[in-house]
Parts: sequence; structure tokens; C-alpha cells
Amino acid sequence: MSPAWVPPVVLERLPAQLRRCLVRMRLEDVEEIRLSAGRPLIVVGRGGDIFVTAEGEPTCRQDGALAVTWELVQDALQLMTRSSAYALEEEFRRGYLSLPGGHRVGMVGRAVLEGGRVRTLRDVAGLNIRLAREVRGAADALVAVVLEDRVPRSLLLLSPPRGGKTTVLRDLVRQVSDRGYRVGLVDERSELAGSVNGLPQLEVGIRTDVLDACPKAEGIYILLRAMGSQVIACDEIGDEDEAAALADAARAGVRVMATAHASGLDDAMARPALGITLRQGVFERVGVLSRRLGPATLEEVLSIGPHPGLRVRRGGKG
Amino acid sequence: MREMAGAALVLATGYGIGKVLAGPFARRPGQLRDLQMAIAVLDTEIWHGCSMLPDAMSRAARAVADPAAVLFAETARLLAPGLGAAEAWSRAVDRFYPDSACDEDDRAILLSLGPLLGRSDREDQRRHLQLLRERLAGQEARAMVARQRYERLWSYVGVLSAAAVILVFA
Repeated sequence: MSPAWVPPVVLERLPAQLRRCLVRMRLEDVEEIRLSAGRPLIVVGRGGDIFVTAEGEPTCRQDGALAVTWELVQDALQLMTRSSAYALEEEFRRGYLSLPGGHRVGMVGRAVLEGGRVRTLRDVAGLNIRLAREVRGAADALVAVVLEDRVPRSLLLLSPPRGGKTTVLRDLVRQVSDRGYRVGLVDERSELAGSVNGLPQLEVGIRTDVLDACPKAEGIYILLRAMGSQVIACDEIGDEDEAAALADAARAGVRVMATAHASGLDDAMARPALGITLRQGVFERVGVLSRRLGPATLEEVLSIGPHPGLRVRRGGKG
Repeated sequence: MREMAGAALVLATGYGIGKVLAGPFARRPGQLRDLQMAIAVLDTEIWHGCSMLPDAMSRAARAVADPAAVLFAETARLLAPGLGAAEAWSRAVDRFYPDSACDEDDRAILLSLGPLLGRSDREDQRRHLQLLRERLAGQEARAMVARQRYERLWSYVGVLSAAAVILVFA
């Protein structure tokens, strides 16, 4: 029997019924497994959504797919939390769990509020297991841009969700690190390095210091002060604190590499915190990714200055 | 002389059998106390330490003697990937129960924890564990009464039965 396409670290955290189904499944490039109580099992691959029967066969018929029950979701959650939901209050507040190896499990259910903010999630009714893929060479086209004239350039990677930002950033960090630069990686969601007990499970380069599960804004300052990083990288910049910390690092002479959700530079400029960092000239290059020719299709690379109305250079494939 | 020695032997045997039959009544309160102690450790590990359940179970096991320790150590061992807390706890109770002095009610109380274990936030877990301790404390109080009543009774039954045997065959 050929190996399963779902990693063992994920399989062993699924209930037996689901494990049996997914072990038999012969779908390549599985990106997500979606479990919603009262709905069919959906596996998301490169080609889109696929229903899967209890025997692991792909089917186009919704009623032939494995029916996900409330109990199945609860059992999966028990296994993924190692029956320790109480120890993962922060994860429940944020709505996702990280599994060893960089895989991420998004959760939906009933939000419990405290002072108008989400305190935790109860009655979790849906899980979305996003599988981390380590693709060596995913950032080949960007390395030359980032290390132009052998001087690292600050880079922002943009794409809508599932565009391949994390995969490309991980490979970029690895290549920059292996080419002689000290990289500090703030891996708040444990997705980039997939650390277990502080040890990276995915290749992020020999000179990369990983700050695992650390909030990005705080992590950037820690790396800046403590590790002498030449480049600081982090995933999914969103709020003002993170943007301010990145801008501060850039002003301190450190190059920064980050990702953000946006379909292009104009959308990124319209996002409050991100727009400010772009106008401040924190990033010298912007890479735009899409799924047009598959995940992590590099659409264009823009050179920008403090006033990013001027697009100096275009490149990339596709 | 031989008759005297035989009678003494029969009396000693009767006394021993009485002690064996009274044993569960004598051991049960202590074992219920151990279970409460281990659950208190589990509560502390969850509430203050935020320890993952397998680690919390291991520490609870180290805090008490067998057979209570077996219940918690076995749960920790079974909580390997692939088995949830409810199933692990239920299997561990099945392993603990035959070697313990606990009765069917104690077993049912212990089993009631399984489906709740590790599924909710710290406050909720604390409530469940405190309730379990209170129920076990109630069982312990009843076990103390039963011990006072039956431990001596079975000892007397053993000795008196032996005396009856001696009188019949004398």
C-alpha cells in the first residue's frame, strides 16, 4: 500500500472512523480537511472541493460522502487537544489550534464574550484542518529579488487566503538563512517552522532563530534586542501593534519579511495598519501570489519606496 | 495435646478467614481517600499548572499509593494519540476496579467523570472535579460506617464459626 496523503501526525489525531477513511484516500496534494457537524466530509485539494465516502473514495455525490456528526467533531477535537481543552484557552479564544509539523486547525462554534471580546469558543461544530506543505524551491523566483546585490531587501508577500504565502515565506527564510544571513522568525501560529517543544520540525535554515508561539509584536522586539537578527520574518501581519513593531525593526536597520492577506498592492494600501507601513517605506519589495496556476503562483514583484504610487519593476511568472 | 493444637489451628484459620472477608471493608475508606487526594492533585495541575492531561494524570498518580495510583497512571498511559480521555478513563477504571476495595457505586461515580474530562475550560473542569471529590467523600463516610459495622462482624463470624467447628468435632 502506498503511503497516505494525510500526514501521520494528523491521522493519529483523528477518530478511528475518519482515520480509516483518510488512510484509504488516494488524493494527492490535500490542502484542507473540513469537518462540519451535520454535513458531508469535504477534502480540499489543488483542484477544489471533493466529497469522500466512508471507504475513502472520492465522489461527486454529496449524499454518498461520509456524514460528519457532532460526536465525530467532538471526538476529533478531544484528540487534537489531547483532551486538554482547558490548557488551550488562548487557542480557543483565537479560534485555531496548531498541530506538530505546522498544520493548523481552525474552529467554529459559539463564541463566549467577556467585555465585548471573545473569551473562548464553546460548542465547536466545525473544524478545518489546514495541512502545511513544505515545498523546497517554492521561493526560488523571489530569492534573487530579496538578495539583490547580496543585500537583503525587506519584502511583503500578498495573496488572498490559501494563496501559498506561508509556504513561500518558509522556503524564502530557509534560503536566505542558508546563504549566510541571520534570520529571526516569529512563528506565532507554529505554522512556519512547525516547532514541537521549541524545536523546528520544518526546514527554516541553519541560521534561523525561531520564536515559537510568540505574539508577533512582542517577538519582533525580542529578536531585535536579543538575537542580533539581520532579517526578521513573520506571517500574516494584521493589527497596528504588529505593523508598528515591523516599522520599528526596519528603522533599526533590520530587514523584514512578512505576509498579509490582500489580492494586490491597492488592497494592501487600503488596509489600515498595513497601508501605513507601506507608506512609511518599511517594505522595499512586494510579491503578489495567487492560485492562478496552482498555489503560490508568483504574479508580480513590485519595487516600492516610501511613496508606493510608483511601480518601478515588474517580474515573476504566469 | 494434639487436640488442643488442632483446635488452636482451626481457631486461627477461622480468624484469618474472617479477616480476609473483612478486608475490603477495612481498605475501602483509605482507597477512597487516596482517590480524593489524587483528584485534588489533578485539580491543582489543571487549575494552576495548565498541565496537559497526560502530565496532570501522571503527577496525580505519583501523589498516591496503589491501587488509586494505577487508575491515574493507566489513564496517562492510554492518553496517547488516538484515544480520547473518556475512553482512556473508562479503560483505566476497568483496570483499577477489580484490584480495589471499591464497590459498584464507587465505580459508577468514577466512570461519570470520563465524558467530562478535558472537554471544557478550567473553571468547568474544576467544578466537575470538585463535585467528584464531594461524591467520593460521601462514599468514604458511608464506607467508614460499613467498616465499623462489618469489619468486626466478619472477624467474629470467622472466630465463632471456627469455635462451632471445634465443638462439633470435639
